[in-house]
Amino acid sequence: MLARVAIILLASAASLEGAELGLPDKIDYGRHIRPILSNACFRCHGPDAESRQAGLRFDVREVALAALESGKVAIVPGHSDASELVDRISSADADMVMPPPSSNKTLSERDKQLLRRWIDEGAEYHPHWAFVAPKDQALPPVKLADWPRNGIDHFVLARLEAEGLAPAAEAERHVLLRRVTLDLTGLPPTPAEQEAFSNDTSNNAYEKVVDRLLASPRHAERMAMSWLDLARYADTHGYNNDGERTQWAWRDWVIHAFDSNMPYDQFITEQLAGDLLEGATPQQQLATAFGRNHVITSEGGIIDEEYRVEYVADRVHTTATVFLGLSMQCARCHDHKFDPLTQREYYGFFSFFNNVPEAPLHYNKDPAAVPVVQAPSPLDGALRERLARQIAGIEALRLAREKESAEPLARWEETVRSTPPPEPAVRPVASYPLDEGAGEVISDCMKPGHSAPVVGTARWGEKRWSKALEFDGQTYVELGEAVSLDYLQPFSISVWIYPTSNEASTVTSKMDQADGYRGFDLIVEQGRPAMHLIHHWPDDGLKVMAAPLTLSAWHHVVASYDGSGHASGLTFFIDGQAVPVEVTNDKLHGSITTDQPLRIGRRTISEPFLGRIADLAFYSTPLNADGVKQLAAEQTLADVRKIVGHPVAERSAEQQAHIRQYYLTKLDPSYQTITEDLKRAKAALAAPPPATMVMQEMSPPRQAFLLKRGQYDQPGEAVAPHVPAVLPPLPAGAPANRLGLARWLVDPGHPLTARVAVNRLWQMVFGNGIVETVEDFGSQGSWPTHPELLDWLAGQFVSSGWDFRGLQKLIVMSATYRQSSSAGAAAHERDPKNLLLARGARFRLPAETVRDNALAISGLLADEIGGPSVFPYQPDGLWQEVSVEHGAVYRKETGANLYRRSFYTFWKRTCPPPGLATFDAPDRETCLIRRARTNTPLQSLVLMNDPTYVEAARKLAERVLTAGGDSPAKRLDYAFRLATARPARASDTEALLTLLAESTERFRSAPAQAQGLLHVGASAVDASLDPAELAAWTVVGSVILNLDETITKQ
Amino acid sequence: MDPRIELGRLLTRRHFFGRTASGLGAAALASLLGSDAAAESPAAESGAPGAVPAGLASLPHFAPKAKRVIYLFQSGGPSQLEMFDDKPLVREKHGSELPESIRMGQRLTGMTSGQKSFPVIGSKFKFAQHGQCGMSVSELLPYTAKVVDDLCLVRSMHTEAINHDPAITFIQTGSQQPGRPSLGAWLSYGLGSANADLPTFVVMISQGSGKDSNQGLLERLWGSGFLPSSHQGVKLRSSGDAVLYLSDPAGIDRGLRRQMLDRLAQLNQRQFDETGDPEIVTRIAQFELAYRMQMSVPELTDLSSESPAVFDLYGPDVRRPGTFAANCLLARRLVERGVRFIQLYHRGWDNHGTLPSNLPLQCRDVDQPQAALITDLKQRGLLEDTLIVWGGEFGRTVYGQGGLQDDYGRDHHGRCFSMWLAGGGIKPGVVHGTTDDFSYNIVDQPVHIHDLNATILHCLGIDHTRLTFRFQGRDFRLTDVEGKIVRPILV
Repeated sequence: MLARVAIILLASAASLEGAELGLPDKIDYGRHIRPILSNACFRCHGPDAESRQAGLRFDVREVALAALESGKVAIVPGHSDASELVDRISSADADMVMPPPSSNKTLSERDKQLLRRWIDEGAEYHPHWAFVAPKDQALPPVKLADWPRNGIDHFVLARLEAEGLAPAAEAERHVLLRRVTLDLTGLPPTPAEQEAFSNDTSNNAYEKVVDRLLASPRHAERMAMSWLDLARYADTHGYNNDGERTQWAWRDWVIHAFDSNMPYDQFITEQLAGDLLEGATPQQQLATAFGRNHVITSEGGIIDEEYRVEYVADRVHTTATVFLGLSMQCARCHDHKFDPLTQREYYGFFSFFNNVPEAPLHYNKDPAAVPVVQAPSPLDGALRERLARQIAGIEALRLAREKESAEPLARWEETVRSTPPPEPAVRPVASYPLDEGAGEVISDCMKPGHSAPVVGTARWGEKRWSKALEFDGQTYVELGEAVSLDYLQPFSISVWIYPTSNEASTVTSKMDQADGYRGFDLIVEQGRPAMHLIHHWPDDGLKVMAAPLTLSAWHHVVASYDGSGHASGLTFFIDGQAVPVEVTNDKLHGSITTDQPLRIGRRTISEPFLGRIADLAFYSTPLNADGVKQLAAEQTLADVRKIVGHPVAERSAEQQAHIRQYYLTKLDPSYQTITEDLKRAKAALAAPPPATMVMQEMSPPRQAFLLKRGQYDQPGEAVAPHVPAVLPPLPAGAPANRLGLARWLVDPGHPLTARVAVNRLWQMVFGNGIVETVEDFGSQGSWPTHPELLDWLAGQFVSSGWDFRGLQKLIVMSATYRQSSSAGAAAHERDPKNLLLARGARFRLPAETVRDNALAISGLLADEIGGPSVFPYQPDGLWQEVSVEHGAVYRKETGANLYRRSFYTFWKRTCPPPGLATFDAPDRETCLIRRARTNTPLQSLVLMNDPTYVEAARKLAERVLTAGGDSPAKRLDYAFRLATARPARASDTEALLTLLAESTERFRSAPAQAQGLLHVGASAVDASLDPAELAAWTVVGSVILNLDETITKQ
Repeated sequence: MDPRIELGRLLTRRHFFGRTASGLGAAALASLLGSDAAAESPAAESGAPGAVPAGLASLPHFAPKAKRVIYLFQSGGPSQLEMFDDKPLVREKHGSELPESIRMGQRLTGMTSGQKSFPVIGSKFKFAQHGQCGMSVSELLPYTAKVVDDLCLVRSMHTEAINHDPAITFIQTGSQQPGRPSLGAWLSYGLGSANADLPTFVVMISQGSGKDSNQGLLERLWGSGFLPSSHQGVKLRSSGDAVLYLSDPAGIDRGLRRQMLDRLAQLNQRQFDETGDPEIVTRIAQFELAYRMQMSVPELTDLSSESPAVFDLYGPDVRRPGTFAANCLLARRLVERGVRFIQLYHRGWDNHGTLPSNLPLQCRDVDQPQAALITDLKQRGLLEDTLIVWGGEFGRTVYGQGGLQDDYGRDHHGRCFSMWLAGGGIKPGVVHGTTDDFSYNIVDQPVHIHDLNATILHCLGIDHTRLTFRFQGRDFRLTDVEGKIVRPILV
């Protein structure tokens, strides 16, 4: 650790700040003095009036030079020895010294010397550079005149030459191709692209590549990906119960905007205020979802206004950070400590975002908080085509699966025939299958030998897959004392019926109509199953009617009674589901037993059944939902067994179809998956456009107030919308609303908008911003490494008509960009962060690109663009562990959605995708514009063991074995081209071919191990390949995917 | 473990390292030794990568009393009235309206703010004095009652938040709104790791037996906020891989993994030779750490070496992975291995209704294991430098939610609640703070969330005003601009 500190000092001493360890020739207020004052003094002697001590402030020259209450003067220009500031910073007295020990701040000897000299030189002040509009910058002269390829290089080289450094050589062609492809598309170059570039000898070969990449939809995706962090995009609301939302149509809007190279001023304007544009289109309204992507609570019991204020504050924070590079939230509770932003100005800015007619979310109910727009995704046409193609594809899969089913079906039938039927979970007390199919006698299968004649005509009809007795109005069966039910005994009746008439039809009864209808019946009345339990009708009996069922269709009906004597104890299930009931009589107090026989098909004499009845069974217990489901399954299986008992030739076509359908839907997981996929795809195609939360403006606007200490319930003075005084005023004629604010931001004279945007892009490409604190251009922010370059780029950007793609081209065409990053250890020690740009950028890929890269290398990457978020592999249980009531369950996908680009992954804020979070993807709870780049053992575990990477290694192996040539060396070379866009070195080949040989040996002797490895992941294994060889190549593929080089842009 | 010694071991063990050890370069070494030190220099505030989180050079600020923390967090808001803060007067006045002089019109959650009547509910559970210190504890905690002489009970905790999300985010990160680092992340950042083979900050979650609603947990509670993401808590899970992606895939055994890593290191080393980028050396070391973690974590979670006496001590639940009891035993094993911050979450304390039927189940989950943890640590001489913290995000109201009922419920209450601390740096056998006769307001020695966090940091040798991180121009700290150390409870 000590070593580390020493090295940093050493590095500074050696190079970067070399000129500054001693004192600079010319002291610059902004560069040298303001950072010291800001960091050490402003907290008590700065912009915040409330915490200001002794009336002294150092951010305003007049005050700093004025006489203090004590009569002393803090700063006397030209006379450091007469300046109280110098006395105090030099004091050894703990009560006198500044900054005071309690501040935990100290000044270095160098800081003190700088302050002294600055005062001696006249204590000049200048406004903070970032608040002054960029000036036109002439290209500085350079010695190495043939190096620059464009303006960027003049600025970079001038600085290098001033430091006595030379730029690195241009990167090798393959390195450059991979670098620019990763930068502009987030994906590696394909072997074909590598070959094309290496064969293109024309002078503008590189430029052609850049143009191709910029025009690719992959480029739009890559840019959209970088926009999601700062727009704090997610698929859930965040906070406590973290319900789901559908904001993805806005993500599609962003992709589409980049794909059409929408000018950046329009890009900003539509996202901030698209709804306020003249004749705003649904797409322009959709764009404003930017302002509603923030976290929203739906916790029961929250105070709405408290959170509404938080949402507005989030919009302020996001807008200020993303477009202005300012930490405006520091002024929410008090005047800003470091920057000239007052609390009143904060609420002036707040007021722009305070007028959304937003309603709170209801606990676990609302998918979106109003206002919303139901606008289709701008990619809707393509999405629909994709869905239609998907559906056609799944249908084809389904047909194929059905065709392939003959053999496994026959095998399964054999096992059915050779195993005895399972014991029923609940045994009936009486059971009449009514499936004899011929003759005029029916039997109780629970009591062998018990049978009864059919009265009337015994005709047998089809019952789904079997037979059933037909009832024509004359048909019925009498069964004597087969069952005995009474009103204080629990029981259930289960039956399959096919009613054909709306007339009251009796399914079964044991009733004495002559004795006040004493007894019970199960009937169908007006198409509704109903049951009577009667001691004496109507004064002592109960009647319950269930929901209606469809006539001329088979239904499974269960009446379950708990023996309570109350109607509430009688439950109906139709086709396995409990259904609502209507109680029309509920006063049963006496017994319902009778001497009448049990009948099927009529009461004592009346209400005959019309239709078919089968599988009537009586139970001595009530059945619950699970029991009913089980019962239905058992009866279905019993039907299946009946068909299976007959040779195929003797079955009807319908029976054969039924049997196949049963097997496929119940027992073939692949078929089940296909059916599910089909259902989902069809539902998606039929779904209306999602409701996206967007901005709207209240009329009249909601009055904003200065909130004391930032508290929602502490309003102070009323505040009108206005922008901070340190920045330019709203353009003439601009309305004082979000649209006016957007116009103000994109005004060419605005000092921040273009610089902040250019700087962020620079960070994306080079790893650090020209202003390293990309999120803070204020006085606590870093001093630009190349201030003139930043201004020149900002100027180019604005004068190009905010051409974002043009700006990127300018950067990647520069000689600065094209330098080699292989500069040696000494260069890294000299300038660890590469701030001077004496070499090319080399840093680990962003989280999403680490994964996308592996998918692309393996050939797994799905190329669909846009649409709803997807659910790739994730370890089981992560959502349940943290969700309210364990209610949230991750919905694992199958098929292509497992391999979509990572920024389409469903983003749950309280539990972000672990494989991405491990590589520094943020939680998206707040706007973030600079990710950390850590290097941890958990990242190694992901690369080694996450099924994503193991499967990618196997697919890479398959790719290499089928397309990589005929020798191990050629194949290895191909693998390196895929993963690193370079040929394998001799040392690579030597190392990995040894591993390959050893692994092949190992897997040959342990085929089960090979199979285990090959079956990680959902994709099919190429059966034409030797498993041991494929497994060994998978091992090699994994090593290649895990290389530092593979996950690094260099 | 000293990372430099560790690095030396790494460098000498493999032949291909031997070749380049001398050429490794100082910058590479620095990258490997951990960069958080670099964050102290303003030039490197984003936190460059590092192999073993080494902590800040300036820490500890003074000699620590505790080297590590076990935080037994009870998510949902346990009722102080049934467990730690006996109110005989409330039993006497059971069913009568909460006096307006006590309530003083303070804000209520949206769940009870519409109630017309606020009858006070006397606890159904009896309290008795225990131990030499005579601490009053409820009959729901018979095992805890036996270790009261080791506890410091704070009856005067308070928070501003009255809903779960802001309250739990507040107590764990020092801010009601998302975006700040959690306590454990601050400690990881400040103190670094004492065991290279295990994460510095470990999180374990258990499910309560009470049937009341289970509030959600949020990754931000153990997140790193604006600190580098390497400081976020690592979940130790009871199902699947104990640490995500820990297990080698099917078909790859330890021997093959070793071979793969050797080849990987060889190729990475070659790339370092060419580019000179010290990140590559760090990357090599991280794969080695991952490899060792693959062995050290299963060894950690394998309880077979524990004696029957230990199992008896923690109670029958300890044999079921994922229970609070099992997590307590794992916490002790983590402590023995030098893990800095161990955060347990036990869910299910949100007793809005049916408190008398569900709270006893929750108490049974935690009572024996937490007492066992104290006894176990004490027997091993670890309690003196391990700080244990117990509590939830707030307490519960003296009045009944939904009025007067037999199986009553209580709403959230942030104005006073009870927590206890034990071990390193904390005075044992004392009660701190007093609430009024209704356990509604604090009458003496209030302890705010920021005060608690300042005190926890103090026990670890950290001045809470000096553990800062600059983000967007501001030096942030766990206790924001507040926090007073609770001196009376310190040894």
